[in-house]
Amino acid sequence: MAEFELTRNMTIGQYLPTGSVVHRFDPRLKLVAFSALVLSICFLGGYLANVVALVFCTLLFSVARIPLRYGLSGVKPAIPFIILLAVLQLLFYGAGFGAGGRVYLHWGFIWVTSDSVRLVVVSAMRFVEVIFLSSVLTLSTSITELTHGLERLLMPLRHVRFPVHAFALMITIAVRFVPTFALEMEKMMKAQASRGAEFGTGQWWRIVQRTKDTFPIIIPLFNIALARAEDLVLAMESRCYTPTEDRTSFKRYRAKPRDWAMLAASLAISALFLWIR
Amino acid sequence: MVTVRGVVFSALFAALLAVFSYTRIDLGFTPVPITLQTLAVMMAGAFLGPGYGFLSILLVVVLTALGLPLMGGNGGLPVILGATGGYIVSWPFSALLIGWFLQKVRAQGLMRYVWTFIVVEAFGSLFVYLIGVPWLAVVGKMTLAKALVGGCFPFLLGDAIKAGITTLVAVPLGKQYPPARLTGRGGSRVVPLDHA
Repeated sequence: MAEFELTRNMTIGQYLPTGSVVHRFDPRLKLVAFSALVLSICFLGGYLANVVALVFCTLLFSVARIPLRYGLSGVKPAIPFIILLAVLQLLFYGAGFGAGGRVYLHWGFIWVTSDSVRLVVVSAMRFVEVIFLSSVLTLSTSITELTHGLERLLMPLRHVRFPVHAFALMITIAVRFVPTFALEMEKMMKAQASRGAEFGTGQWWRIVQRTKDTFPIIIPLFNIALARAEDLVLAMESRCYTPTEDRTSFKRYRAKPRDWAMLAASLAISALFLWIR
Repeated sequence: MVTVRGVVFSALFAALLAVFSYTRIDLGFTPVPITLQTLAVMMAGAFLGPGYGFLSILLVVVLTALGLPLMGGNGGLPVILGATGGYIVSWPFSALLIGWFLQKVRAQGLMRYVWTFIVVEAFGSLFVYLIGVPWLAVVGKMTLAKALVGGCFPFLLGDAIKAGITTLVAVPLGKQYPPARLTGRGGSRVVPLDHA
């Protein structure tokens, strides 16, 4: 924890209001379309299908009027993950699952075959496609809209006694809490550093000391968080909030023919992906 | 029953998990850094109990699946469905089991610390690998032995440290903030809303 700039890295709730037609779709149908597209992409195993899907995702950025670099910035933190997975698959896929296809390299337990190369490329493309779809969804839909959409879609779970409304409220409050706690954590780290605390430095054998070094941050942060939550509980109750009653909503959504057309198009595109496969 | 208190404190631990995902501690002698994410999972189970602990971590998993960058800047279904998704999917159940078994701990004094550490280590760490390692083997298409070497053994020390931290925080603070207070059960300082 040598760097203190938590809030600089925190990009939660990145919502980009460009006013495009994608922004104005009903969030419930957006979530269904998103799920259908992602599920179909998970089954694409060939080069052609993945290229088509990648082109589609890129076009989606244009329709939503979102600069492509936002999508690429979403891919950047996942690059180490993609590379690690690619190396593992390239080296071990052949040995573990039989040497299928043409063998390019065989040394000891390492087999590099055309099948493992295809697996690496296809996995990376699938990864990027799903991140692009997630970026379009989160950049074109605010947290509030996502929460409302999720709450409506989870309504059938009420029949199995899942607390749908409370869950949606948890999401809203949690998302509001994240930047607040990140700021508190940053303040705590700077305050402790200004009075001599060292984070993440020191000799390797002083493992107990380095564990103790986390306490000046974790325990005060916990106390602050708990106190802040208590304050919020009191404020909500003083505004007569009772979670067991059905409430009206300040925001109402009604699906228009345009929204249903978007859903139909998404389902058709998902079917097209699966057909190309 | 659902309480305002339970909702807010569950949101608190979900937010802490997101914040902790941005911090890591380098141990120096191993290339694997300690991330504080599982620490937040352990804390959620210890402080909230089984039900709210489960919901608290579940909502982080749901939001991550939708694409919010809650995992150290990463988000989206590849994080959930990818090779390391098994660890994340097991987190809600890890919190549930920690909360459930900690309810059974009746010991006081030093033995309470010992039992708390055992419960947190068993379900906050070993249980997570019970699900995460086979998942890594299947999704990452590698043998179970290699998945163990790559996805389990390097992290055991860090997880034991986190279980120790959770124990040292949860046992003393748990006296002031028992699950009944955080979730509004037991009537401690909270009017039961279903009687109103």
